[in-house]
Amino acid sequence: MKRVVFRSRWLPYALLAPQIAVTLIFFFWPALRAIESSFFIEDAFGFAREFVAFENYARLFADAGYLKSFRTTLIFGVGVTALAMSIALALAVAANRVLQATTLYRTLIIWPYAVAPALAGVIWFFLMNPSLGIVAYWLDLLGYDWNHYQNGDQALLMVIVAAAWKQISYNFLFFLAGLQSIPKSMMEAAAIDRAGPWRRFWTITFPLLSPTTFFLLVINFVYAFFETFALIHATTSGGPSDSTSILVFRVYQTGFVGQDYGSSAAQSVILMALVIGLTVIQFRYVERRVNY
Amino acid sequence: MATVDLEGLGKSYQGGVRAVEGVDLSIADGEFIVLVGPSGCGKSTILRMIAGLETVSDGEVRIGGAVVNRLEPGERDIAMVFQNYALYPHMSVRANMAYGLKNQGTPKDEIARRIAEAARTLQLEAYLDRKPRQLSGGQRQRVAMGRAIVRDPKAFLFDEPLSNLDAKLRSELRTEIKSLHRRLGATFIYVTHDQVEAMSLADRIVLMNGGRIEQIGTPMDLYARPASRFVAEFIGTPPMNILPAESPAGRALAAGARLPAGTEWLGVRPEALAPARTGGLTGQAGLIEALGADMLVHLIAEGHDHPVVLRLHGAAEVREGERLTVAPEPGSLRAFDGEGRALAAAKTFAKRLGAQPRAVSCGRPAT
Ligand SMILES: Nc1ncnc2c1ncn2[C@@H]1O[C@H](COP(=O)(O)OP(=O)(O)OP(=O)(O)O)[C@@H](O)[C@H]1O
Ligand SMILES: [Mg+2]
Repeated sequence: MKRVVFRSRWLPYALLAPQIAVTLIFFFWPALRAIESSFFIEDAFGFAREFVAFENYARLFADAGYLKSFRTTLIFGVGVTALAMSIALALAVAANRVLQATTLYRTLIIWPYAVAPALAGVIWFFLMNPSLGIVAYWLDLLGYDWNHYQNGDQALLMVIVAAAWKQISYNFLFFLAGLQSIPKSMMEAAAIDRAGPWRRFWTITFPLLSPTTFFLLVINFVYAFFETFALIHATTSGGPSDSTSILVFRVYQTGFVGQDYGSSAAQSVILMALVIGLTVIQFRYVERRVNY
Repeated sequence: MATVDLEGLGKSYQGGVRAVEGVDLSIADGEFIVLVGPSGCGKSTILRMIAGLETVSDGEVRIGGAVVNRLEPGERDIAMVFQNYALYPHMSVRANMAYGLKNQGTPKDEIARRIAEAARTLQLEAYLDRKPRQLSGGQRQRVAMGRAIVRDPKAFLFDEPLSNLDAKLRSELRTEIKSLHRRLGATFIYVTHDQVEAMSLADRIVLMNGGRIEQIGTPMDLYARPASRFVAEFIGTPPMNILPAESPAGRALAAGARLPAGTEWLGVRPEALAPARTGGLTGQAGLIEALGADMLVHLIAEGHDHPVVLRLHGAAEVREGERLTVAPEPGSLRAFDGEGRALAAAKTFAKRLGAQPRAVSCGRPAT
């Protein structure tokens, strides 16, 4: 570790100040306000509020809609993570084979390709549009009636695919970097040890990628749980009949559409606890696994 | 255990690099062969073609008489030890050794038996449950050797297995590899760029230069009868002294001997030069390296810009600046033609100088 010595005692604090200010103003302050609000019931116009202790939380867990949203979120999160990671891993393994010789140069070349699919997320919706989309048209030709405006399962499947699509490029880069850090001679030793390509992958490559995999697992869950609001908002708006209404979208709906600030705040506090939980797991587990 | 034969072996890498050209080599069952040569001469490439890690561009590789050009590495029944150990970092030492056996479906108790035996041979019993990162470099390389032994392969391939170790450990493991070879009686093919390793390990040395074989022979063959200037200067520390035959220093060295026709260069080993009363090469002692058992004297000869190195007994009394006259031992002078090839009749022409007894007796270069 490199130690830097500052001549003035105050300089390091001054340099850190903007970052600390941003964190305080935009993260800690709202978080505290959310915790505070979650203990009150406020009238729709914001004129009066009443302290209700944990009533907002109690109401949430008694609400079948909220519990269903939990389930939806879980399916969504697992679906997005599994899809985004398995496709990214398959692509990375394929790319790694081609790349073995001149690594750096070609890795750099491939970057724009890897990043571009993020834009393609939006295109999915045009492709899948029941009246205009080409994929919906093909499905129709195959005799499959695609309409995510009415079929809740189809809608959920579609947002899963779209959300995963956006995440593949990111996962791909990490997997590729992980694969490239595995010494070539180790795979050669395994080949001489009579392990076929499939066995080599599952007994050598995959275990050696486990730190990357675990890191991505958490990142993808966090992404699916919390960063997909815009995607849902722009496409299904949680519908049809709440079938794609994941937790983070519900916070928005309850608060800004339903004007129930107390409940919305309680929901965001629960989400916050989830993020913190995932982060803690990440740090603990990653530290334990990276040490071979 | 098996023979390994290379016939007209050649390798072109993508982009037109010609790494190996026309290599013919027959390795006997149980032989210890060392491929040696400067960096980039194609040693690793040959080894990797035998292992099946590189495709063969031209010629044939035969193991135990069967052509293996198209077989996968796992189907060739060879084992390889890598310079960077290439152990599986997420597996214990035991699992590392068991991996290859499991893949070929060896029964559990047989695996345990073989690992126990290999661990005893390599003194790894105390480390079987450790991960590779918890071992020193020398122990790691022993594990890699253990991983090879348990498989009981037809041939063992080593690619500079000792290069990452410090000098003391290197000589220790060198001895271990040698005695391992004795005990197993298996075919060993060993790549190194260190000629000391090559000399001390090999039954036969294959000296490579620019993708071709320069000379094949026992260590003493290469040392005493180098086929070319390249071999003469590669084998031995310090290398053979080379002088132009027609220079004053060259003529003084040959001292009236009959040289074969076409001789352009003369070569003489440092320990084959002994102080003489008359005749021979005269010069001034320059740098003196006292190595304990012996001493290297850099003789600045008149009419020759490179110092001529002689190896004298460690107790010899020579001081810097002293004038010395040295003559080659009978039969020790080598003659090379303009292309650097050794000339056949070279050994018959040395002139007996009698006089002083030899101050040196050293058949092999010191480490
Ligand atoms: N994968 C490759 N692609 C292209 N050229 C290669 C490749 N591997 C080796 N070469 C070239 O082939 C030649 C022989 O390489 P090789 O690795 O066999 O040398 P070496 O004798 O083992 O050298 P060293 O002692 O440095 O290990 C070199 O010129 C090298 O640059
Ligand atoms: Mg090499």
